[in-house]
Amino acid sequence: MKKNVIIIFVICIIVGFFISVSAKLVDGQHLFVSPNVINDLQTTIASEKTEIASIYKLIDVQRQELAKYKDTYISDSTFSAQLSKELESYKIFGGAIDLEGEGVSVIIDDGTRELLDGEDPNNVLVHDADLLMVLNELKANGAEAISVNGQRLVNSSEIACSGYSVRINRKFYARPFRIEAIGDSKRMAASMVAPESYGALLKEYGLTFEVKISDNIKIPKFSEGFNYKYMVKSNKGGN
Amino acid sequence: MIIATIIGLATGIFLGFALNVSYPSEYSFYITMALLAALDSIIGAGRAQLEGKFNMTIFTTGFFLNALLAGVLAFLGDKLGVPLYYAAILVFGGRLFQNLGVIRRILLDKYILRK
Amino acid sequence: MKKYGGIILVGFLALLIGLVISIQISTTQGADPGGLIPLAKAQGYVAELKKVRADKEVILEELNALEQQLEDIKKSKAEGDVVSEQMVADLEKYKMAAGVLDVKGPGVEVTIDDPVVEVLDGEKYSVIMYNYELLLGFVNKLKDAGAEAISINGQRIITTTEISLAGENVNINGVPTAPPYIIKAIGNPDTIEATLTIRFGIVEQMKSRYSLSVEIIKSEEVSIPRYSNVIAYRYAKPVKE
Repeated sequence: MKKNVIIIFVICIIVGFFISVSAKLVDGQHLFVSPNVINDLQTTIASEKTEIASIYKLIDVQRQELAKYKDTYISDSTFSAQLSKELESYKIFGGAIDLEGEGVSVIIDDGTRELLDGEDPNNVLVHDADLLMVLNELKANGAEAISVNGQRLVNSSEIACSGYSVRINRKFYARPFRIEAIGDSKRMAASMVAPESYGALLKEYGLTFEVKISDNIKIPKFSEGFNYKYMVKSNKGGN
Repeated sequence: MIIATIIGLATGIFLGFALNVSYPSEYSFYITMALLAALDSIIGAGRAQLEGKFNMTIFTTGFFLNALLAGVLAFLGDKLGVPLYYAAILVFGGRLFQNLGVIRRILLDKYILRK
Repeated sequence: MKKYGGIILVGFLALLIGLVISIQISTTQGADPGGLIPLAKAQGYVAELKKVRADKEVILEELNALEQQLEDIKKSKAEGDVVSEQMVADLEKYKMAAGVLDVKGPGVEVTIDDPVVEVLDGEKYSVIMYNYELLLGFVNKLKDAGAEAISINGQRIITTTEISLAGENVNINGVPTAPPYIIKAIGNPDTIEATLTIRFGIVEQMKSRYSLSVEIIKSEEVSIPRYSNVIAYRYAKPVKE
């Protein structure tokens, strides 16, 4: 009997212990939280993991570069050549070099059909948002270099529809809008004409929307310089 | 027995607050469910002892098995997307009150009869 | 046989139940658990997020160190050769143009978030996510206002950046993102703020038509991270002279 009491006593101590440890841990927080919080957390975790994977890829590239340049027996001309090649690729990505390759050209224009009774005339006009959506879809399908009405799009390029003209890279152009993109031409074209595509939607509203595949699209370089007034290289990581 | 229970719990609770120990917070929910089952077992032991039917083996096996089952059920419910832990709350919570009621009646009987 | 018949039957049923349980588990993995989650689980994720972020910091440091090393080597090798020195200087300029450098400068930081209450059929419904074209328009307006660099939730926006709805998330540069959306831009803070907040402009639209909460903070120094992926063109090549 005595033994039993002791055992029960010890067990009670343990249970009491866990009760207070749990109480301290949870501290009266609401037991429940909406699934939104979990989903958002999971999304953020997934995005950070994706980022980490890309950074590893970048590290690989840098290691390879380092291997090339570290060779102290590298002759001056080889070094120059390597530098020059690297410079060219960043000029390409930045938009400073004329490019060519297979791709698509898309013509978008206001519709010419009759308006239905009481219909909003905006329905048959092209808006900034329409162009942005079409461009977004091209990019989602691998577009590498893009021009709108002959203007190369770079990181800071804006597209602003106003009245009868559109302003791109601070220059004005009349309609129609001609988007040209270099990339996997079949993939981009398919995304433009698919039934759920934005292009199909525009066509439904009666706007002009034509897509052509080409073996050789030429995209000119960005015609202004790359002089930045506000941004400078930062030595710590941004975020 | 009852006295041992109360003092034991009090001591344990005090120890928990005094010491700086903890466990990963993801498990706190399951531990709490197991604690409910544990409390039910303990109160059940108190009742059994008053009825003279206490059996250590039944108690210990019941104690650990129920605590484990409660935690596992809560965990499973989490994974399956169904609040299975409700079962543990209803059953062990229910039994807790039931046993407390029996204990109360027995104690009252003892002392009222005596009088 | 009779003795074992019962046991075999029970065993078989247990097997079936176990099978169904595991199928259920894998099916409902990630599905909406029906309303409420124990807070402890959320805390588990918070801890995991902290750890993943710490990991990222570490390898970013490694990357920066490697790049610094490369830069130093190039600079010292180029010394004395005017052509090479010019190329090294140009390299930094065009890397900035391409968006592969961390940058900083004056600008704005905008936080866009869903309105407080939005529950549709008990399912999570994010206004800004389903209208992600608003983000496209917003970025365009920033560029219109002269923004030189832009990032959304840490993703640098370059010419080829796409914003797409993928399952439950909005993907930017292929990386899943969730509200609130923190958009940073480097440029003239006053010009940018003015352009965003004109009457009937995009911010007003977001607030009135979509009930989004939009907060704009001007700043002397905004830090914007590099585009964190490898850029490689497979189809576009320089025009042959």
